[in-house]
Order: sequence, then structure tokens, then C-alpha cells
Amino acid sequence: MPEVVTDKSVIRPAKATGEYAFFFSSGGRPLYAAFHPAFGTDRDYVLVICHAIGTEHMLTQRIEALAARQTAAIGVPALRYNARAHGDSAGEECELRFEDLVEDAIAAAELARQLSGKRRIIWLGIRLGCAVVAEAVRRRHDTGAVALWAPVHRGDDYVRSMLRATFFAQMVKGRRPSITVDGMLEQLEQKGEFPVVAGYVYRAFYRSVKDLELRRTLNWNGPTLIAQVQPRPTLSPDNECMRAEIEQRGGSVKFICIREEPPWTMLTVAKPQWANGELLFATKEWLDGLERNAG
Amino acid sequence: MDWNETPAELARAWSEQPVIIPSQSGELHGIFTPPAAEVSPTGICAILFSRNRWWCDRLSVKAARWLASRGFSCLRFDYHGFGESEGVCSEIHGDRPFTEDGLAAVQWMRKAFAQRRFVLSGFCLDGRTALSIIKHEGDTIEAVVCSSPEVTSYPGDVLNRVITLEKTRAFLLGPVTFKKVTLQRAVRRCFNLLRLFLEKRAGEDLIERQISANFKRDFQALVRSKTRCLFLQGRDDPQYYAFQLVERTLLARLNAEQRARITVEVWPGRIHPLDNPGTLRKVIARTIAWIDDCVRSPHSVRHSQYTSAMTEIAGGASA
Repeated sequence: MPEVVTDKSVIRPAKATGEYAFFFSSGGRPLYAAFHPAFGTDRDYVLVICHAIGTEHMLTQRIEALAARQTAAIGVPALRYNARAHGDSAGEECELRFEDLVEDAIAAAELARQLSGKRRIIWLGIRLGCAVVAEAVRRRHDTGAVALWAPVHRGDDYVRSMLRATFFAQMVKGRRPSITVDGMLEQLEQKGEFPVVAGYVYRAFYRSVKDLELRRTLNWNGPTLIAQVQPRPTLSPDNECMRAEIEQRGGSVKFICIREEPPWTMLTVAKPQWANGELLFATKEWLDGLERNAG
Repeated sequence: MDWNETPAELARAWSEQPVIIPSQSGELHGIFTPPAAEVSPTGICAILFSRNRWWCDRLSVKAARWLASRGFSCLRFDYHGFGESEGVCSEIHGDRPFTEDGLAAVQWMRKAFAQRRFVLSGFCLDGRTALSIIKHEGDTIEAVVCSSPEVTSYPGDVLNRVITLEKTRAFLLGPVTFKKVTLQRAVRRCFNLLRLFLEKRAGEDLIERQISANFKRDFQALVRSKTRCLFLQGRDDPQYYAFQLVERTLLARLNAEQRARITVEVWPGRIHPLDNPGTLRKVIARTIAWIDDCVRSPHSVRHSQYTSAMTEIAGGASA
């Protein structure tokens, strides 16, 4: 059972929202979390956000906080946290494995239930965080609904996209990259790490996610939101397949297409962190509808 | 420097406290790292500026824990409109630092944690933010690290670097996408240059006019204060080409005492691009090592440093 490490960690709740931040223990390390209480509601749900991984976490951290605040404002408490080796949490990036992320997500869900007094979890996964959600859902029996923002369908694709970004970063400067993505993967295997934009990819993590497939892991048949964040106007084949499979199992799926895609792996210095009002609004509407249907 | 988490740093992580800082733009969210009890306290609070508080490979998180394990109090926080902080930030401009947020952080640390002496550091815009605090809080700022700051008020290269052989070669040999981007940039820069020619500033020639008025104001505040400062630059960065204007004008006019408080380190190659995380790590390693040295070693004019080629550091020596 996770434990909130310190009461002293809460200097005072934020005035506008009542949210408060603290550290809790998972895997023997302090992990950062923020809880957003919702007052005057008898809804039996609490939202847990599984963030994006690596460089993408830097890009999506703000929209994650905005989503949690918005969710609490409509009467659903929310917990967001930083998995180990991410954000303000402790932990070694070079040792991080997918299994660690799942362990932290499950600890966060336990904590969310304790703090909110609610029984059902609504999971919100962002990018590779969707795979973490899928695995956590598989291992627990208290999931009420699942929201997937810009899901990454294959772990191998995710790592390759990080490596490709270094490719593009060089091309933008007029340089011809001297190594292919496959060559980068070879180096990653040999050296244990490979530099990408604003960080590193590590061998231990790559090995733990390279065979990951979201559709295979997500064995879910409840209310689902799929938010595709890509320039294309219709669902991608992967998202379409996932939708069909959930619906075949009896789940209800709402999907939205957000066509403004941020540069996921290319941390831009001249722009603020990514936030998208359309995505936030659609998620709020879905949560509201979910409550009405459940009620 | 070994960036792996040591037991001492993990202990600092266990002791960290989330804080909420009131500011003009709303509440700013941050993390306070208290100094380790088992080492003698330095009495200094290090504020590590970055957009959100673990931007770029979480180096400010690791740096805070490293410094705290050596007796510093540390704060890192999200600027308004970033991370968890309130407010809106719609655009970022290298010449418009987040001074209000930085000031709010210094004042909050004084009020809530009784901190009296500060060291500030930041990279690029965050370095400019650190520098801009001296004007308001000069008496309490012991030292500032300002790595690869923008010193002009417009994006792009300084006049003598607008067209170079290297750029021409890259343009001719580069892919079509690069050519398009380069031409778009060139058009924007023509407008910038036109504005520069039309701008009037008393007593300044065209060379000096390229330095932004904001930077000059903050630099003069640094000169008037007793604060020590490290400017860290990469020899091949556009930011250093611009900083050379500062060397030729503002730095050249300082007297020995003033000059002795300002250290300029120029490393081979580039330190600015984010696609080289190894270099970023070296920059932060140097930053925290300098802060640590700076606080422990008394300042004298003999410490005057102007290092034009820190090859041993840029080459990978640990801090």
C-alpha cells in the first residue's frame, strides 16, 4: 500500500483549485504527485493520469495539469504523478523498465482511491502512458473508464521516433546525418544509451518496450475515449482497429481527431509547452457524459 | 560528473517539499530542497531557473539534489504558464526574461524559508532571467551563472555573421527543406536589420546597438552590484557571436575590480543546441561546480578569469 511520505510536503493547497502536492513511496523511492480534490459530489470515480515518457513528458506536462484541474472542477477528483526517473520523482533513467512504470501507476491508483475515497478508477494515458494504462487495467478490477490521448501503439515505433528526431534536428541545421535509425539502435544496444533531443534513450527501457503492442495489452470492454492527435482527419488504421476491438467486446468508444499535432520528440525552445483547448474540452464532455450514463 | 543518483542525493529527494509561490501572474508551483543536515550549511539558497522545473533531461532536479547534499538550500519552480503554475505564456522571447517570476521566487524564499543570500543560474532565457534579478535584489545575490544567453533583441545572427562561407556551403549543399527554412529566415532577418538601422540610441554605434537595451540594463546592474557572474559560451554558437559584441564594448570598459567579478568561459564547439544532451550535462555540471567553488572560495581581484578555451572541461572532464 503506498504511503504519503510527508505532511510537511504540503505547504498549502493552491488557492484556486484546492489541489495539493506531495511525495509518496513506490519501489522504495519518493515519487511526486498532486491530488485534485472535487467537492460536493457523490460520483464514485477518481481520475489517474499516466503521463508521457521521456522528452514527450516535458511537452505534455502542462496539459496534464490542466486536464486534472478541469476534471476536478466538474466533480471528479484527479491524481497525477511523476513515475520514477521522471519529473520531480527519484530514480535512475538508465535502470528504468516498462514494468517499473506499471508498478508506479498501480501505486498511484491505490493512493488515488485512498485520498478520494472513490472506488472506481478512470485512467487517462498520454502517448506511451497509454500502454502503461493498458497493463494497469489488465492487472486491476476497479477500472471505470479509459481515456487514451495520442496513443503510441508500438514500443518499437516510440523509440524509433525519438531517434528519428535527432535525424531531423541535424537536417534542419543543413547537416546530413551520418547514421541511420537502425545504426542508432545498434549503438544503443552496444553502449547502453543513445543521445536524443534533450535527453537519452536507454537500452534497458528499449528492451522492455520494443515488443509492446497496445492493442494486444488493452483487454478492455468499458467506456473509452480515443483522442487521436495527428493531422489526418480520420482515425488511423491502428486507432480504428483498437476502436473496433473494444466495441466488439461490448465497450463504448468515443473518438476525437485533434489535427494540431505537436512535435512530440522535438522539444522546442521558442514555444511554450503544448496545450490544446479542443482536446481538453472533448475530454471534459466525455467525462460528463460518462457520469450521466453511469448515473 | 556522474549523473547517477547517489545515496546522498536520494536522501535529498526524500526531504523535498512542494511549494506554492504567490506572484503577479498567479501561483507558481515549485520544489524546495533543504540542505543535508550532515554537512555544514553554506547559508546560500540556489535558485535554478528553467521553463518548467525539470525541463531538459531533468538536470535542474539532479543539480538541486547535488547542491543540497553539499549544504545549499535549493529551489526550482515552473514559470507562469508552464508546468503546474498558473497564468498564460503565449510566446517566448530570448530578450524578455521572466523577471517577475524570478523576483517572486527570491522574495518567497526569504519570507517562507528565511533565506538571505542567493545564487541564481539558468541556461539561455533562464540565464537572462537570473541576470535580470540583480537589478532588484543585487544586495542579496552572491553569484549568477548565465549560460549561452541571447544578448540581442532580435532573433538571428549579428551583422558580421549574416552571410558566411559556412552558411553558404550548408545552403547550397543542404536539402530542399533546409533551403526553404533558410530563405524564410533570411526574409525575417532583413526586417530585423532594417529596424536596427532605424533605431536611435544616444552614443551608440551600429555595433553596440545590436546589444539589446534590456541586456545592457541588466549588465549595468551586475556591474554596480557585488555579484559574481559566470558567462558560459560555446565558441560556435550564434549566441557567442552576439556575446562578442558585449566583450568588445561593455566588458572592455570595466575597471579591474568590476572585471574580476565576471568570468567568461568559452568552450570549443556549440553548447546551445538541445540535440546534444551530453553537452548540456557538462554545462550543468560546470554550473553547479562553479557555484560550489564560488561560495567556498573568497573572491579577490586575482580570481579574475577569462578563459577562452576550456578544452579540458568541454572535452569531458568531470566537474
